[in-house]
Amino acid sequence: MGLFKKKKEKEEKGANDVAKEVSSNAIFIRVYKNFGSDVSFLMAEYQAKETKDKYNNLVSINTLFSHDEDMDFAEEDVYRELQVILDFKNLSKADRVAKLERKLEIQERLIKYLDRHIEFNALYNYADETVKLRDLRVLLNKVRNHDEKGAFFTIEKGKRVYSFESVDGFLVPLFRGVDSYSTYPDYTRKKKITIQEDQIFEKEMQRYKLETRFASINVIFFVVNMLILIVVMTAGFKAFGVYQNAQEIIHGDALMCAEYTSQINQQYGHLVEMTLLAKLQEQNQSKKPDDGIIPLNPNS
Amino acid sequence: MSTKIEKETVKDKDDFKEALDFFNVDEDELAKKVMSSPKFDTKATDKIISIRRIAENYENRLRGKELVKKGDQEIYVQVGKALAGDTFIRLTTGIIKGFADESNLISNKTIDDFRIQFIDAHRKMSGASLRDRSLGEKDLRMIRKLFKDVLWNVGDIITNTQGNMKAIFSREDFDEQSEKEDSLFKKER
Repeated sequence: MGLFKKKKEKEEKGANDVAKEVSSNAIFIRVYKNFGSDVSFLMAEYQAKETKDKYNNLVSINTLFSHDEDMDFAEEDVYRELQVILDFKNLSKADRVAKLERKLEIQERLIKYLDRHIEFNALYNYADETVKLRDLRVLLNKVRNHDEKGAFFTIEKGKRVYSFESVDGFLVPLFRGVDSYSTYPDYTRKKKITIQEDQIFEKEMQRYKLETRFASINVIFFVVNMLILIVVMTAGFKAFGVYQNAQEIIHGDALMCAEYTSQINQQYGHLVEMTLLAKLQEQNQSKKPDDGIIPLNPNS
Repeated sequence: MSTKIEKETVKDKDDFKEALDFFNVDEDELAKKVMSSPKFDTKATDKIISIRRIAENYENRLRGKELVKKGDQEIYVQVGKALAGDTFIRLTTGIIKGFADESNLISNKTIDDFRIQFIDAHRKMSGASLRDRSLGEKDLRMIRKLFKDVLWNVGDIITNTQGNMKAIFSREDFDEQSEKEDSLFKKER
């Protein structure tokens, strides 16, 4: 009994583990591609993590394989509405297909007439009618292949496995039907498309903003330049002042020297005057050259 | 013996008749729909009407119609297929028509103020173009450029504050009125 109890515990534990695995956010992704044929080839297989993005949408992410896909698999509103408009509720699969084929034929004729005679474009919008034709074709494909019972994933080794078909870089989920064992890509799923035009446009507008701020940047540039000029000029004046002081110091000494020299010269001249000149005068007075000269006085 | 062109003309005529039966419409009815007169006078100088006229021209261009002169009148004629679906056309035309309001004309709007409105309008158009499945890839860029050009034209009208103020607040009989007021205080001597 003890052994059976242990086995039962182990089985329960295993089942719990499987339940945990299945409900965990780790999933397997398989990507198929059909190269223009009905046979699909497996292109990639990897693990991904289910999480919620900033808009609270369920997405699966694997950064290594650049995988970032919505996992909600909601049907586009237009297909739901078409099914109501075409009154599919009480029809069998064959009747639905027949009804859709008739509708398609009429729509194709309409588009041909709109293309051949421009005048009728005043009555119908060509763009809208081509979209309707595309929607009818997608819905016909779904009605032909769809099973009431089925799912977008299977469970292998306790993990959920989602299969996608790669079409022009977009991943289209494969629906697996139970009754007819059909596996078809479901194009009626809601798609989220982003384009880079908004980012380019906002960058352009940022550039215009810079151009209008150009004036304020110019003013700041001018003010900064003025400040630098003031600083440089102040430094220049200070340097000039230092030069002046230095000149004064140098010239001061020279002037002093010149003053002393002139004083010395004066004193020397004075000395020379006092000594030599006096002597010369004495010598001149002793000779008295003017004794033999009789002053002439005509009136005496 | 009929020529190849004559045979093709007869074939086209038969095809046209078949199309008329298919669409269950009369030739006269069709002619009325193919040509339509503009709702707003092309010679009007009122600023709000100018903006509405720009919006109408934009809408008709997206529907494949062009403005053509027929004698003295100008009419819209269907010359091609529509470039976008009805939902997108109505939505984007509504964005442009939203600018045809006196509050936009009497407020002292600068180009910077208008730029904020421009970015907001462009975002709305961009969101609509992402959701709309009727827009073809080859037409999407052209339509976006057309929308931007139309918005800039509207911006030129809105930011011309001096002209707008004069248009809204100036009175034609101002000179006469001022003379009358002066004369009341004039005393005859």
